[in-house]
Amino acid sequence: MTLRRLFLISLASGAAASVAHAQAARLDASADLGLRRAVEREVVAARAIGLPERLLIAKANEGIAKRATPKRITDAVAALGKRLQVARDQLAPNPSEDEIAAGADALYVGVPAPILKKMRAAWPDRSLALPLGVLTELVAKGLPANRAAQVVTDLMARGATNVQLYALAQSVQGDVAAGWAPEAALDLRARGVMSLLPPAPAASAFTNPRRP
Amino acid sequence: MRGPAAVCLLFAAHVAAAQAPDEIRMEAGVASLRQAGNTSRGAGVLGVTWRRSRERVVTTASGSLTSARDSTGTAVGLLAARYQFARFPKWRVETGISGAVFGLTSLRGGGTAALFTRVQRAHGPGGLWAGASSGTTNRFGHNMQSSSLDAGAWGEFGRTSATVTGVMTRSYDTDLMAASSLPSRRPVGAFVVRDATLTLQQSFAALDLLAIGTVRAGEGVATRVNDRAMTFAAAFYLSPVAALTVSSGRQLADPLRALPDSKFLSVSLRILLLRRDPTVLRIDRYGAIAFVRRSPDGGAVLTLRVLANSSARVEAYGTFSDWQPVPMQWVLDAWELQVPLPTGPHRVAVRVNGSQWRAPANLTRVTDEFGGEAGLVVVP
Repeated sequence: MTLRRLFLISLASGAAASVAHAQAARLDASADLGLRRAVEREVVAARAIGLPERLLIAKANEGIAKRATPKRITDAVAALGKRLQVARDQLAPNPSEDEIAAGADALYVGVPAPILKKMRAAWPDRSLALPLGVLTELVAKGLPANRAAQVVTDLMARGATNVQLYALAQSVQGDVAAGWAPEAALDLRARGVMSLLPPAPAASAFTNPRRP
Repeated sequence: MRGPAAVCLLFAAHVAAAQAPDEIRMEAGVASLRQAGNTSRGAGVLGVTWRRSRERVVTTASGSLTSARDSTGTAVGLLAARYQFARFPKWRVETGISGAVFGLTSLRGGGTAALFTRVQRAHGPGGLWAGASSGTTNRFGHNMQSSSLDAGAWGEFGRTSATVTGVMTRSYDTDLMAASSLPSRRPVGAFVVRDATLTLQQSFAALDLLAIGTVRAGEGVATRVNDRAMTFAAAFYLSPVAALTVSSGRQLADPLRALPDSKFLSVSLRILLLRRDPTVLRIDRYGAIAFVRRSPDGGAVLTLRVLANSSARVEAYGTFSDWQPVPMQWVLDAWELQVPLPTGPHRVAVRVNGSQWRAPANLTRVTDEFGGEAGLVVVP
């Protein structure tokens, strides 16, 4: 009798915990039990390694809103979990949730993971949410990821502001809509932004101790 | 009925050809009508609506025919225009004329014409209005005057919209009122009826539900009668250009439109025959655009604008709404939604009349893991 009671109590507490987590995460109420459990598994795994679980729930809700199959939703949530982890690692040491989300978005459109690390190196103390968004937009527009990343990272290193990076993306988008080749538009607009930035410091004759 | 019907359709065709319409709709169906004190009759219903939208002026004309056995029939026409002031964009003036010829079982044949005007003041997703109407009904040479004052308010709350209307009507159309349940005997002199109406509409993905409830207090000579009526309607969108509509309920006698008190059940198919705005010509994108304005507090406001017809149902969703559809609002001449967004990338999409979600035309389009698409917005 005692064992049975303990078993029931453990079942009840497990269910309560499950419900509590689901409510905190606000998974769409129309999700069926199977999907709810699958998403919760991903959420628990993400929480365990410090990833923002809200983004996983949002992805699941997106799939539900778009009436995707439970399997497709589960796959998308799992894939996003992996991208978030990669983004978090590449944007170390202390990326914000917005940065991790933007990084995962960039990875989704095909930006190679090491580029995120280079961008962090260029802006170690500033939020990368917008530069990553700009890069994502350029790549989604059809620009080669490495070329777009090179331009954005160079501009960041030269001291470009968020507004200048945003203007770059808008200008390229307008040019492409007007019929320009994406790479030509990017080169032209990047030169335009570059001309507004302070010049790079001149190389010092004493920077290389091996040379006399 | 053939003469007036032909005139009505010819008039609609002439107006349509001359004014280069933005939209022509046709609705055809069947109905069961039962006027007070009579048995039910099957009827055919055919209606045509023409509409033209310009920057500040919207004009519309419509004609409809209802024909039942036992020579019950009505041809109704409406011509109206709405003007929006450039300096006071929240204010609009609407005016028009309506007319009908009829041969009703419970009444004698005749015709009616009415003028109406209304002033509207929009406020956010709702507004207020006040208006007046005046008309004459003629039956075999006898003219009977009617006039009304109306005021009301409307509002939209998410996917629900509500309208409250108060109307006071004074009418000498004793034939019409005597044929209704208000009152049961024919008095001498004018009737005064006061109506309070609540209209509720709820939109779902491809379904609109409508409920209208009216409470009427009326008084004739030494007669006072209270009455009430309910109407329910549903429109199911089969595609962006076709909808199946079902409606049922009771219509209280309307002296200005010469409509008798009747119960009805109708099923009809509404088809969009022509639409020249981008909704149909560029159905893949709806002529939707998105732009971002920075706000002083460091964030930004995303404005979505969709060039669809004002009668369409336009929604947006995206990361900002956790992918829950948000109804857009009709502002000036387009559908609009403003959303405050934090810095960073976001995704949005729009749809018209429950069809496929699409990225606004000026945004970079990205496909998602679920086979859909959205526009990428980067907020500085």
